[in-house]
Amino acid sequence: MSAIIQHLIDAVSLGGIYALAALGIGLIFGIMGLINFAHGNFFMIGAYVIFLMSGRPVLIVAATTLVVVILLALSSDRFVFRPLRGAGGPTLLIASFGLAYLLENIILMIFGGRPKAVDFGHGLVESVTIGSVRISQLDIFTIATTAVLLTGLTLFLRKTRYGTEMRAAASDFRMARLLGIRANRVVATAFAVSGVLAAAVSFLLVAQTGAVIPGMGLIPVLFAFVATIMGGLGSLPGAALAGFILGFGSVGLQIVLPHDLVPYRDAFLFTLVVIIYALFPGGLMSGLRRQGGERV
Amino acid sequence: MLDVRDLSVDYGPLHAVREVSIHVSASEVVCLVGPNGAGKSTTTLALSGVLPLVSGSVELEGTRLTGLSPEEIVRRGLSLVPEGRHIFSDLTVRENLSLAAGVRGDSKAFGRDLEHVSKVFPFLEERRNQRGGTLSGGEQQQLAIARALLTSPRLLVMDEPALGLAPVIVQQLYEVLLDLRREGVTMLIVEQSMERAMQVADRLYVMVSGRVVLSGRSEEIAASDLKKAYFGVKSERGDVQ
Repeated sequence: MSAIIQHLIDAVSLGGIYALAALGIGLIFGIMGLINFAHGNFFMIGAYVIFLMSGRPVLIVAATTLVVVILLALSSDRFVFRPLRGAGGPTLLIASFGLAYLLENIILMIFGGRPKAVDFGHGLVESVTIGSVRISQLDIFTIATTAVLLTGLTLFLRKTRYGTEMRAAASDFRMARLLGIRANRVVATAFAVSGVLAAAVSFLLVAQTGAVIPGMGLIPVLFAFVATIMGGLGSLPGAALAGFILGFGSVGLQIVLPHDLVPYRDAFLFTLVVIIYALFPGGLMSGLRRQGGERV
Repeated sequence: MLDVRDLSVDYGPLHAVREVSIHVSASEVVCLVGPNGAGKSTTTLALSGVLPLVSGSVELEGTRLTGLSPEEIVRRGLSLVPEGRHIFSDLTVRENLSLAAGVRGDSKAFGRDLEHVSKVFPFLEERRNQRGGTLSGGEQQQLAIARALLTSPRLLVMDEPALGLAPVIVQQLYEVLLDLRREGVTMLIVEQSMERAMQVADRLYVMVSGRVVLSGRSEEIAASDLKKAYFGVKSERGDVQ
């Protein structure tokens, strides 16, 4: 029984990271129709900020990482995507690929290609025992961070004026503008929120791996992208749900697969994803329906 | 109040609207009528900044709107209720209405206006927590008009407000429009039904194939002139353009 609870905690922890990453992508897609592959590089930049700041008090590291990643997200909107307002989805997608390559190569030039150990989160390796279940502080930290951010995001979207404007813009951007909602402000807010989510993912990735390396955001962003599609593009609850499904799927397969097949876990996981796509072609949740075809 | 001069709009190689000039005076209700594909909706989208102009100019109370974004144009007093209502279906009625508050500097004035539109459309208060997508077509149309009114427009532009509604609902809707007219709300309404246009409008503009072919006061335009205009024959009365 305790083993099952342990696995469930692992699944929630991993799913939480995927959910946060997927929400960052889903938020931008809902408003702009942009699948921002550079989002994974936001994780990477955040991780390198943590590397540079390691050894300092955690709150200072957290605040600096948050500010840098939010500024990076806002700058990417201002200097890369805003000049392309009105361009089609493929143009925006290629621009996001270009930005991703640029950021990765900047990190490669400065820090090189080798992994670097980070003195961060070592206090989280210890475990606490509740009954017969041992829970690592890292899992508790990950689950708590995910819960706080998901709750905060939900409250922001449901209870604030900016959140309501973002939901309206995600549903029908043209109509939102006809009601006076400023396009640039809504998009910038979405990028800032995706920056907050990306900074949190940076923390969780560094805490789990204890190292940074260029390209470290690629795998998480691929899983996040899959979760965003699986949830139903444009549906934030769907993206979060699909993130957790991927987390449970990964941990579940890790347990049930024969030892020799464990290295191929992701192949089995994505086979399950393909089956889900076949059963729910529009995604798990119908999502924020795109009433107006127009995006910015 | 509204002065549109020689407005032309293209969809790629297609000339959708050609040299259209429209004038709407304060407290006046003007209808833009014409068959499908005449360019009426394109004209409203161009007035509200959604579509760029190829040439021409748009002024509202002497303020030039040409080249401004939709969010700037609504701030300068021109609010559009587009064809198809475009209610935010996942947002509640109250949230749909509250979006209009963004263009208002004065929250007290917005509160007063919200109270007023709730009297004009009583169901809005009763269903304030209901999602927009769950309202009937007629209720959605009224919500769309209420939402536009809350932006405090000098000119309310409506594109086929009766489209897709049952006749009895259309009659109720037009009674509301007549009430708004009595209150002095200035309106430019796109309408396919000549009968309904005559019911509410002070003046009419008839568009065919992207051009205004006839205009004049409703009572001065004879049915025979309208038929001729629809079929591309020059009218004998009214201003042929």
